Amino acid sequence: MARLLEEPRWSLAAQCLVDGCIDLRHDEDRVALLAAVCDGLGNELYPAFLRILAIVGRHGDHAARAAVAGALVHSIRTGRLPTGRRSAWGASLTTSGVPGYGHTRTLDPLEYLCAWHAQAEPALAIDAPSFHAAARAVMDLLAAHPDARALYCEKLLADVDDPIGGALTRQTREALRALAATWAAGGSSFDASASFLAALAGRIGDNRTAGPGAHRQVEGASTNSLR
Amino acid sequence: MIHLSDRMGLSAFGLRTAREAAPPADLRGAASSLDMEFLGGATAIGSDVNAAVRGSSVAQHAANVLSHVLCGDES
Repeated sequence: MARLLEEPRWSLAAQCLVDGCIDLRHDEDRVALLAAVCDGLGNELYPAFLRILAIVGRHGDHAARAAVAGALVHSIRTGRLPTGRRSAWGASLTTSGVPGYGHTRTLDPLEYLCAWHAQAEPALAIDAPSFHAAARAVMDLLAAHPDARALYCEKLLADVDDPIGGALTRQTREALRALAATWAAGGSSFDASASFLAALAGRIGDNRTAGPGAHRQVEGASTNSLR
Repeated sequence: MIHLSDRMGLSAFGLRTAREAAPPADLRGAASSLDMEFLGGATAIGSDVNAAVRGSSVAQHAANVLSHVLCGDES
């Protein structure tokens, strides 16, 4: 299992991803690159892949973001968007400590962030400012490709309409629907992410999100805690 | 700022070299052993296969480089 260095070179990793997406000549190869990156990191380090996407989304120029977004668009179109695995809601570990058959679900980048923030155990959840910063950065990355927003929102809305999947709780699915609807309607990544937080806070009402003050809480957020 | 003009990393790790690597000999042999009447099509198919192999190899190499800068030798 891959393990992060004490001081991972995040910017260089992001640059590698950008360079790879530019240097490879075909969309299929770019999708293969995304898959190989995720395979190499492994499921435990899928958040590292999200962090790389967030770095490109936050710090990449338009051409850099467009190169990676193009690869993501092709992966959506071909049903190969890189996913991470999380426990299905209500699932518990087996006596061996390993999730049993059918106890995990695969989630795309935005779904993963949403499920991570909304998970039942607050100590294991990504906090609201970090969620907001990462979700915004991933959406800003995708927005560099003209087709990405519509395609991704279509996928998200299809996923939230599938209650059988078991990947997300009903509350999280409704909050994700709010995010997708806001983003699909032309809202900014800030508004889409805040819609998720507000919808989740309104339904759950715990202390991890700021409810009506979600906009204030997420201002100035960083991805430093996205590990 | 991550931009196009600053390609640090990949060249030093040999991405360019991997791109130029020759395709596996068995694929070239398979294409050249076909009957003459199929030679044109076989050449085209062989080129596609070679390009796919090369692209896949470069993608894997780039992914390895990325894992290395995050995980070092443990990747």
